[in-house]
Amino acid sequence: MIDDFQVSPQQSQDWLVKVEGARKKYCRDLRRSLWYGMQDVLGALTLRRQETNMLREFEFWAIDDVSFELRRGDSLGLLGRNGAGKSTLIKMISGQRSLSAGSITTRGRIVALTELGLGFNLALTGRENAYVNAAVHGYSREAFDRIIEQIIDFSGIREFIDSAVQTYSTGMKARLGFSVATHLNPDILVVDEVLAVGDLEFRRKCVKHILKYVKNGGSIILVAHDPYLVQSLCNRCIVLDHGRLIFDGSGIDGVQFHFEIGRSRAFDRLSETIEGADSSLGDAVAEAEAEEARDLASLPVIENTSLEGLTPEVPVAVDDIQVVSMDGGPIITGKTAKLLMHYRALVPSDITWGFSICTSDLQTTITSCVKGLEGDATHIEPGKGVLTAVLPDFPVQPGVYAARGGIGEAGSLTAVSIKGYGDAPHYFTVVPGETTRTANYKVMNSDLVSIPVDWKS
Amino acid sequence: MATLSELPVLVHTPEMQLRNPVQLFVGLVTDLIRSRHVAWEMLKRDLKSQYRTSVLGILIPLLPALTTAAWAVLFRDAHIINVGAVNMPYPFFVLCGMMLWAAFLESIDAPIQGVQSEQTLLSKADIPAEAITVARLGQVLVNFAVKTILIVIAAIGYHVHISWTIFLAPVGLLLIVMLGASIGLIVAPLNLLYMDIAKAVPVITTFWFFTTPIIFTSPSKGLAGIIMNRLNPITPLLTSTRELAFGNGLSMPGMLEITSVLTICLFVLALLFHRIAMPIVIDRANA
Repeated sequence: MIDDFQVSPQQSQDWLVKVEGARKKYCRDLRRSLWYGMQDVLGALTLRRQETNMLREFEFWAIDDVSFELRRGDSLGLLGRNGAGKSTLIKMISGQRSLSAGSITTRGRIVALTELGLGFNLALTGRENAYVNAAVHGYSREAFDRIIEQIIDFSGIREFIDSAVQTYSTGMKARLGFSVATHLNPDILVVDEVLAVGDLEFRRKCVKHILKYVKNGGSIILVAHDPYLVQSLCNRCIVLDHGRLIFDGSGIDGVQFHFEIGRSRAFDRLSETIEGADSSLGDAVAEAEAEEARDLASLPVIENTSLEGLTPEVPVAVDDIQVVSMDGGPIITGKTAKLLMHYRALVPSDITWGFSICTSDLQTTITSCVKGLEGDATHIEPGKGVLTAVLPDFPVQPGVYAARGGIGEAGSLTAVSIKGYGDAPHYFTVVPGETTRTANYKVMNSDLVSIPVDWKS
Repeated sequence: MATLSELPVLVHTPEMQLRNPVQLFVGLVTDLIRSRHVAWEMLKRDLKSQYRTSVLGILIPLLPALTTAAWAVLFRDAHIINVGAVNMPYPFFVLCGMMLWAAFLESIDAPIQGVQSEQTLLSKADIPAEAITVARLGQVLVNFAVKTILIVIAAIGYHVHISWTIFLAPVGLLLIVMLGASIGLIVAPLNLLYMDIAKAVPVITTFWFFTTPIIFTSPSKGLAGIIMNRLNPITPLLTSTRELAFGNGLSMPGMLEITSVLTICLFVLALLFHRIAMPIVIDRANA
């Protein structure tokens, strides 16, 4: 396992990849893109340089001022949403794409596993194709002769190695391609999404092989959509968002940061729908959400301080529900939190009250808690007040959740005022405590709660 | 593990390559040498694939030459076409001309088709685009070699005069291939952007065919003569190669010299253009 250590993103002497201010433009519109290509070719011939920091119509920055270093022995995880620019950055480092500005310097041989079976021809046998594949990655025949048998053993398809690749299944082709690529021992190995090939057994073999490679001093850049791999393989991590570098630190911190971004995005989206976001969101899904929220929000949410709206039939109203931490900071999983229900009452009442905590989509109730059903009613006086419930060692896992609840009449056990069922619930975020692999593991499995475990072995 | 200083260093910047033409040229040569193993492996792969997946073998490439020769002989004998005075057995005049013309067309196509079908390779591996053209041109030469063996055997069998200069004929062939490849190298990157550019090539080469002395000798007077003898660069190359194999001396040595020099220059320029244009185009092409 890689041990993480204090990472300082400063200059160091033993770097293998140095990216400085790298930028790359892409064009959204196909026809325009092809035309710009023509213009660029002519520009290259006439040495007329296009203004590098200017964007032509329909162009955008796929990579925007990215700088970082890969040191010898590092395994660097590259995280980011789809379209953040991960594959583009990788291709720029391997020399497959040009830069619009900045510079990228590499030391050593780079093998980029961005596609398996590069150079394969279906009419040739597996063995012959392996030689072509090795040549494509820059390896001579003599060098490859020494390792071909190892590769065939690793792939597990020795009995088919001298048959035409046309007869191979997709899995066999992938195994062959991957076996060749992982035995090439470059100085820098760039892996992009290809570890997701093969069956579970083969995948485990591949991960073990890569770990051995790193242990022997190799350096890796891993583009992962499975954060679990980043956590187990990488000692460093960078996160991209819309082409910009927004995080550069240790592997575990990077994974946690990636989740945090995801959480805050989900929270922002929800907050927008509560505020009655208009259709400038554009997204069809957001449209539907916004419409639903508008319908819900059109129901009265009593906010004022007077006792207006209360009647002898409905003498109590819930104004607001809040879930907060004990010290006013963020709600940390495992630490005690409290739930507050703000109410107004017209007359002294004996009430039952309760709340439920659900997932942010309101589809799953994590827990519902109620007081007063066993004769243990709460007495409230007229006026405004706050009902408090302390939630010791709040076991809800990091994420965005919804709280809703209400007040009922103790005598008849019927609800008098509820909040969050017909109108917007209270959304709150739970953040993780310490950053550990275990904590990240729980988040990766979409745990809702954490239960106490006494590990006997 | 190698020490840091021993590792090869690569710097990628958006600098225009043409700013330093010497460096550009040196880079071209270095890359061609560096990629010779890949080009060789690709050549072997393509030849194996070609011959393993074909049943008619060499017959198909020879068919245009054979049928055109047969047609020309028939129509000349029937006095429908007037082919001029030919200084070698006419069937072989046509056959030789057709085969050299076929090599020319294949050389134009080699970079265009090569770059088109290897787009994935170009966009995902660190291979210079020139290497693909070199591999494809190798294939053109090998296929031509197979055809010539058959023709030479037939020539011996029919007691056709084979000039002792036949061993110089490959030089002529090489020049023809270079001329064709130059055109292909220039069209190839543009074709990746706009895929109809390559479709203009057959239109132009069809007209070009009729202004080249393949089935007839070139007229010495008139506009036709000027076009054929002075403006058409293929004429001296094709005619001379044919004469070197089956003729008696060269009929246009002066034009041959000039055209050879121009062809070599054009080939180098075309390679440099290809080298500059391909990375720009691969970014945006359809791979």
